[in-house]
Amino acid sequence: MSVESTGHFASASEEPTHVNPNYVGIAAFLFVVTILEIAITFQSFPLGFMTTSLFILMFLKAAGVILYYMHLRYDSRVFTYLAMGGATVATAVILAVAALNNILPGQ
Amino acid sequence: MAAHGGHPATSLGLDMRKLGMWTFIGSESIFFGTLIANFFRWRGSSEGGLGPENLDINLTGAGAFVLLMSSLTMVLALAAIRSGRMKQYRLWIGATAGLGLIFIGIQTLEFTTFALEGLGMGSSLFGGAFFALTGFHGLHVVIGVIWFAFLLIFRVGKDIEPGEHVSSDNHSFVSVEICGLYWHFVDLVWVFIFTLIYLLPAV
Amino acid sequence: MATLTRSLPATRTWQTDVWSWITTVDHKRIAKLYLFSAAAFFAIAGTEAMIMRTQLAQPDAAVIDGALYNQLFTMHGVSMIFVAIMPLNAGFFNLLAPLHIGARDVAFPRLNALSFWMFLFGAIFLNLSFFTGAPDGGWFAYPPLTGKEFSPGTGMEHWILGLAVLGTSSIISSVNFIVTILNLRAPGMKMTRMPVFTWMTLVTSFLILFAFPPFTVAAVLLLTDRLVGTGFFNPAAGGDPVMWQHLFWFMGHPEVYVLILPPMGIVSEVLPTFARKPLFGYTAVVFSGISIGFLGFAVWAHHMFSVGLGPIANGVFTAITMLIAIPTGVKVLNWSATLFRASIKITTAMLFAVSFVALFTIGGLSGMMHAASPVDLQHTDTYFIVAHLHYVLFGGSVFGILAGIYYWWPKLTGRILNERLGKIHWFLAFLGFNLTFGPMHVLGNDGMPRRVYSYVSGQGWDGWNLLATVGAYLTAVSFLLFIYVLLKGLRGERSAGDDPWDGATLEWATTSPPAVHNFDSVPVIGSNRPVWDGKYEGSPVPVDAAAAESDIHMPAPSYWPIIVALGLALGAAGVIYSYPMSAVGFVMVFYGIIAWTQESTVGPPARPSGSGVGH
Repeated sequence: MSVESTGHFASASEEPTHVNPNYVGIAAFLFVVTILEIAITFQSFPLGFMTTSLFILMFLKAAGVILYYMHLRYDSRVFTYLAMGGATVATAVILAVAALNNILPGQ
Repeated sequence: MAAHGGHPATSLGLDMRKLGMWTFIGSESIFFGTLIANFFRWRGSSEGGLGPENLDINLTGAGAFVLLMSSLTMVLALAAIRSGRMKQYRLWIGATAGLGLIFIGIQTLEFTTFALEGLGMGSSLFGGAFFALTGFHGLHVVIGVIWFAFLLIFRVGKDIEPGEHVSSDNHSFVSVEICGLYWHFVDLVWVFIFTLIYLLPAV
Repeated sequence: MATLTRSLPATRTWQTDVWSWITTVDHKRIAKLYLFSAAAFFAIAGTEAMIMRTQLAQPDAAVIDGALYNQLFTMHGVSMIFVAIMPLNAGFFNLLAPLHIGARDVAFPRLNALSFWMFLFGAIFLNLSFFTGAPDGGWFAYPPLTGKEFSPGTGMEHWILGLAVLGTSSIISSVNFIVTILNLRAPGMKMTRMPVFTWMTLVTSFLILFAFPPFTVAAVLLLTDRLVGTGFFNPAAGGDPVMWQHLFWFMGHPEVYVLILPPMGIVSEVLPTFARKPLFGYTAVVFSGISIGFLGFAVWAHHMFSVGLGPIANGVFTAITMLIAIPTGVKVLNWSATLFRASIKITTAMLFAVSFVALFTIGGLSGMMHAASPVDLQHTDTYFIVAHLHYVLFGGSVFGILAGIYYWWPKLTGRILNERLGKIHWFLAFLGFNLTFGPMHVLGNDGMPRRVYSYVSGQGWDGWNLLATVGAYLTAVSFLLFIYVLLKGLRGERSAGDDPWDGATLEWATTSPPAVHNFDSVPVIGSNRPVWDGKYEGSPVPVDAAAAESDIHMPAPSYWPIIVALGLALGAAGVIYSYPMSAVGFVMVFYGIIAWTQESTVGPPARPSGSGVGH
């Protein structure tokens, strides 16, 4: 019945301690990435580059929210499995619908 | 189930409600994934009416900022209740609710503008898919704001002494924590929607 | 003290007090509610089938017309799947999940009650459609047939909204069982020591959790097509009916594993008990169940082979569908190996369990035939598919559930069902079932289409149809006998004892029926057959002495679950009947949820009563 933890403990107490990452720092990061995203959208770079960079930036923001604000980085891995299970099926649905309707890039 | 009037022994050492909320989030992410898939299917079908090129990135970009900031205020509220700073906790929850309301206002403005310009749910497949996705997201935001009101009106955390440093399995702390998880999830969905629905088509 | 007296008698779970049933949050009583209600809806769905079989007994019959026939086959499918078999499975989850893991109740008892009441009201709402025109577009409701133009009545709204309520009930239930199984296991109850049935409960819960959301989206989109004028599935508006099929079957295929995995779990518990040896290959059986769950998400388009997806898609789905035969075969082989050189005790439960293996295998073999898309082009929409699905869902799921009822009835009620009559029931059911659905393989091969309300004579179908109807009537008789057996099994002395079958798993350590708190003391588990080892391996199950024995707090009963459930049902129903009804419903939900969060959950303390291990 022990508590799994992958984070660092602030104290030596037996209770699970809730680690506080630098929330304002994460917020600044998300802010900057969003500005970047919007800026890229209005440029005229090659399409493939724009799409790829927007996807990367989107996932960076998602990672920031989910790992730090939702605390997934410091919490039990069980939560990660539940979240990733849902994310996998969600992604599979999107890719399957796209593939079956020939709108995947490359089709 | 209770061991000694305290917390029930659990096989994973996890809080029940937190585990329940993550399980729910796993499911709900598929719900939104399907709505996104449906949008991708129909985003080219504007049938001569308003289409993806008419989406207002500036307005919804502001909305994206608002939601991201609201996640920050949410997490600051949680940190505040953790260390018993009850007044700050209530202020930050109020701020989160306020930012949520601003987002709802932005969405309402966006939807009304579209409606006045002739894009409704039944106008085209693009319209239907767009409103289905953003409409359900908006509904989730509304539920979140109601939840914040509930936290404040029913004074969740009233059992915590000011300055009391509560453990992370404190009942009220977890009540706020699961509200936070829900809210961050709603923000997370918008992170995906903003890029996939608003930014990508404009590229 | 009044509260202590009121909590007694702790060993009785049957009370005639209706209010206690309405407010119960006890998983064992909720199990009874599910089983009883689902049985009633099973009877209704079975009657729908009987009327169809009566119509089809002879060519060009005029027992009913085509319009009613379409409603019957639609409602028969929807009901059997969603309001009969799923809730029967849920009844077993409720009874067994906490007992099997050494817990006192599920993680969220009031949410558990909510799931039941949502199911009941959703099922009633769905069946009310018969008064105003039941849905008649098939249980899978393909548009554009089910769009506003071709299905103008309110039948489809009953279908959409009814399934929305039922689906939400199932998702909530899944969250509950996942959290329960992950987080409420007794000390030492590692995942690898859980009974196979518990594993199947867990896999099924994940299947529901992940498979229903796309269907919810599809149902909402169909509703907007019908009510708001969107054109998602309407080809005239540029929409795509095939999209519906993808989203529907993405749920629809995992759904069939939702229907079969729990009965497979039941059989995995029953067979070893009456073979008096452990399940052969526990690990393989568990892993196979998990693999079937995973693979089940990847095969949905084998229901769409005739739609024209193209050879690549058809090939991929054929290949993955055939892969599912592997874990399924592993299970069948392991069950068979369990019986090999065993000292077999033939009870009614055992008869149903063994015939499950045989009948499910037959259904699986016919399934493997049309897993190949070219073969399916011949089979699809014929009675060959009807034969396949009934062999796996009736010969499979229903027989498995019947095995479970005979097996766990003593635990639930303290009385053993009459074995002599039970064996006659089995014989009539086995004979009747095979007479009904066996001929359908021939009919399908001979080209008889499904979902037709009559057929012309002289095609070689007459005799087989008549035979199938005779079989159907025989099956109905077997169910009437079963009802008699159950009624008999509700009366008389509670003489079953804790462990009438010499079982291995934790439920057999409790009294029959179990005390409200299940176990006087929290057991500490050392193997995956704790009760067996306690009896025969000289290692009695120790208890967690640190856990207080005199202070067993059980959750308090509550009426908010039924109020919230009623509010949700009214909210859904009001879309058809009257919008103010919906408004009232949503107000009830809103108020109910808030009151729910504010009420105390601490119930009267329960006293140790000689139930559970270590006494």
